[in-house]
Amino acid sequence: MKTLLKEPLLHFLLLGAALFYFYSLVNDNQTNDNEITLSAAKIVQLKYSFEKTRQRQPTEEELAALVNNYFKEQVAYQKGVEMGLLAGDGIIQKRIQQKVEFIVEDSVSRLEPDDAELSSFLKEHQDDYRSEQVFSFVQLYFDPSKHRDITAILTKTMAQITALDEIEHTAVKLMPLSDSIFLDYQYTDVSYAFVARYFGSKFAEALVTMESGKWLVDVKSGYGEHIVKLKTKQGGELQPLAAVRAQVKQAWLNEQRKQSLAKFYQGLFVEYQVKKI
Amino acid sequence: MESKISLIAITVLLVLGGCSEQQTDSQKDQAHVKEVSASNSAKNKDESVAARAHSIKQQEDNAPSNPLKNAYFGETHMHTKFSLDAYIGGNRMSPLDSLQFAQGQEKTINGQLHKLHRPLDFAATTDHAEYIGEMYTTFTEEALGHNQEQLKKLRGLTEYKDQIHWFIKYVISVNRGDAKPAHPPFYTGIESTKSAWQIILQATKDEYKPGIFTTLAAFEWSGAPKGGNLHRNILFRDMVVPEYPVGYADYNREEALWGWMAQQEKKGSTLLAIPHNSNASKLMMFNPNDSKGNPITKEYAELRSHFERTIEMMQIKGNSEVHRKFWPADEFADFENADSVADFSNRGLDKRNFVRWGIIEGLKHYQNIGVNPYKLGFNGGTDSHNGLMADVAEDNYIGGHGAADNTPELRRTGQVPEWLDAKDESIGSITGVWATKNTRGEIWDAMYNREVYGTSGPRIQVRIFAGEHLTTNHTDINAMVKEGYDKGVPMGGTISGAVSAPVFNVWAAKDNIGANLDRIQIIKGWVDQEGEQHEKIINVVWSDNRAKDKNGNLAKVGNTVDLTTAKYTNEIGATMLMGSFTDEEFNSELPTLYYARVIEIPTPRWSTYDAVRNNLPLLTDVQATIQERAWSSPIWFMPAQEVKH
Repeated sequence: MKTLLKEPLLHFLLLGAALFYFYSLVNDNQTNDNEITLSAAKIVQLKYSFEKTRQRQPTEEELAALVNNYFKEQVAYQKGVEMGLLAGDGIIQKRIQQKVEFIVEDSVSRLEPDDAELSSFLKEHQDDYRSEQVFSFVQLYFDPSKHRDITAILTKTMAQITALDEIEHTAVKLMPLSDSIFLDYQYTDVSYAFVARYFGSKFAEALVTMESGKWLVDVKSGYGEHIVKLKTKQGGELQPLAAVRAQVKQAWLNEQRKQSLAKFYQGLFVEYQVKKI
Repeated sequence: MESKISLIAITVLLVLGGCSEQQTDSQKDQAHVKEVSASNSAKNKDESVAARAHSIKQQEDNAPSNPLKNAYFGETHMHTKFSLDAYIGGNRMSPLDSLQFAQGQEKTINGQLHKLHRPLDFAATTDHAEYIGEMYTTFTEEALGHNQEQLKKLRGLTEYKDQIHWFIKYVISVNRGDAKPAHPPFYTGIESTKSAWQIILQATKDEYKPGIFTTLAAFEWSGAPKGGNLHRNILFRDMVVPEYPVGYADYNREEALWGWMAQQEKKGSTLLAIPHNSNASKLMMFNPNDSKGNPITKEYAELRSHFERTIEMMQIKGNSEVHRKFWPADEFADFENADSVADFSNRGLDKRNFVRWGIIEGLKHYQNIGVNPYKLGFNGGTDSHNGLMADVAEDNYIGGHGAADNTPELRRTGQVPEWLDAKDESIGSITGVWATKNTRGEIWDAMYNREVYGTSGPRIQVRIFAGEHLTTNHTDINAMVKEGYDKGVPMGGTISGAVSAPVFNVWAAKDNIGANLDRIQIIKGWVDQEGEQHEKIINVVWSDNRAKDKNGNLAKVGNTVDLTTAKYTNEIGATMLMGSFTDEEFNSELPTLYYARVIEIPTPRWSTYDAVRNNLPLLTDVQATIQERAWSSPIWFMPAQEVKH
């Protein structure tokens, strides 16, 4: 017996048992589940992630190491949880929050809205689904560096234009009255951005406010002066559901997601009696 | 102890037994979350990714198209917070932020709100591939190694002198010395680089709007052996891209980089390399020898000219076209020479570091080995380390290198560490391309075909066509362009075996919110039978009815800048210039190149705007006014049997 009491292994075992007992006391002992298991699916997953990074199958030794690492991860995690290391870890909390939200959002992404729902959503958010403004116009360019009195030239040209019959208002007839630049005489259904890109935004702004069907002298661009006739201004109208269905559906889903999360948190705030100070 | 024993026992049992479906609660929970997330991401993949690819293709097909081509303007060289040097300087712009800035959105940089005067047509972020992984680790909380001491320090750097210390210790000393380049000690491995690359690519994908705004996947390879700048920006034509970009630590010389590019081509990528800052290359950019010291071979020249189609003419660290010291006969050579670049890293000043010398030298190599290694078009870039795409308006400059130049005072007295004095910064240039539509394929192809040009900032449009049988003195630009494509070649093209004098038709239009034009010149360069370089500058067409003197020189266009208000007027100069030149001195035996240079009337330099705005005296050692310009890519005339690339 004496010799047994002096045996270090016994001390060690006793100490271990004491420690184990101590931990089971401090740890509320919810599960005390010390069995770490490994499913076939998990092995497949370990193999897969190895193959994905190395582009080959793991050897037997490597697989054993993967499994060992997996167990290390698991036991360290379990032990960490038992030791209360989860509490207050910002990264883990954030991650758990993401996972919870993910589950809530997932229920929404399976929803299939019908046309009536989408139509009313479209009506509520009209401004997001208007078509782009497009312009059709004709223009003549005058280069200020080529004329001493540009106003006189503009007035004179305007008189020449009005003297012509409207049927004669063509590029062939009118372009020779103007100065040469790379710009065309006629533009059909071009967007605001297009006009701003080629003439500058001042000119594009002028088109927005311009009355159609009338010649206008003295429209300025970055290149100089223009005589312009706006033919048509289109766009800005609400598009039918069929044309924007995909976008509306996406926006609708986003909205549902937002709402269900809000509702979810509302419920949780009540459940956990969250109070604002 | 007991639990350990039981655990080992179970482990052994399980491994031997193969598998078991027994699960703990936490595992069941985890498995559930995984299942949910897997089904979710799988679903997203099927629906949105495929649908998006389809819709992108459709948008590209439907984008407005002009067979005579339009000029589109964009950025091909710019850094976000994924570049270590940019991050140290305080840059917190993500690739997404930068691409949105390029489209006209307002962003905060160095505590100031900033916005472009007008959106760009295309853009690429080019972060230093060397450190993107480290940067990912630095600012991604979840990343492995995020909490290393060194990174905590990096995130906390606020004092400028500490930033500099950091920059020298981890960037300069590791990458400009004799030692083999290496990752800094806080690098956690290739996974971090891959993660960073994915974030960059995601922004590239998200912001692509065919017909409106094009994004290109890109990165910068930042090799600088012994301090000689050999940097290259790598641009991809589509989203078939490698798993991660490569940097100086992966391939420490340019030949190895081209070798890697060739591998990527085999894997399906389509990519090109754009070198820059030959002015800081210590004779290495246009070296007659390869990196091992052997004279360059035909194979070298073929590989190089296959991948390197255009060179960045000018950027924030100076203009590389010419330097006034070596080109005294070029009256416009004194433009953003950035002399202080020579003072750092023992760079020195040498004619053989400049682009005009390099491209003409390429003709000599052609004579010797049958292939021109420097068959380069020209493009522009800023190299902004503030995440500001093509922020090239002189009246809208707020600095380009974080804390080094973010106040007027620093821009007057400070330095960009190891690069140049801040007052010498040129603020950079912009790329123009001639393309039928604004899509990835068309924009990239224009660069590849060298139908690309650079301007020092203004959105000047410039065209040049050459051919033996072109008609001269067009009055209609559309007719000139149509004939140019039908019977000649545009910028970037090559004519082999011409026998008669070539005709050049040039055209330029001013920036529609900028200054008028002074003139269009053609710069001719050639080598004689002895391999000696020659060049000639021809004034082709100019404003204000000036007369040429007997040497072909023109009187100065004048200067309308009021230095007390930093304002100019367009009372002088022309809005558009169109003209022709026939080279009667052409010798069909000698390889020859020609490029157009468009000069604007004088306008205030950024330093003048800074002085006026802040009520400070004008700096005396930089120019108060500058003549901004555009450089077309060259057109080459080669004696018959030129090998085409």
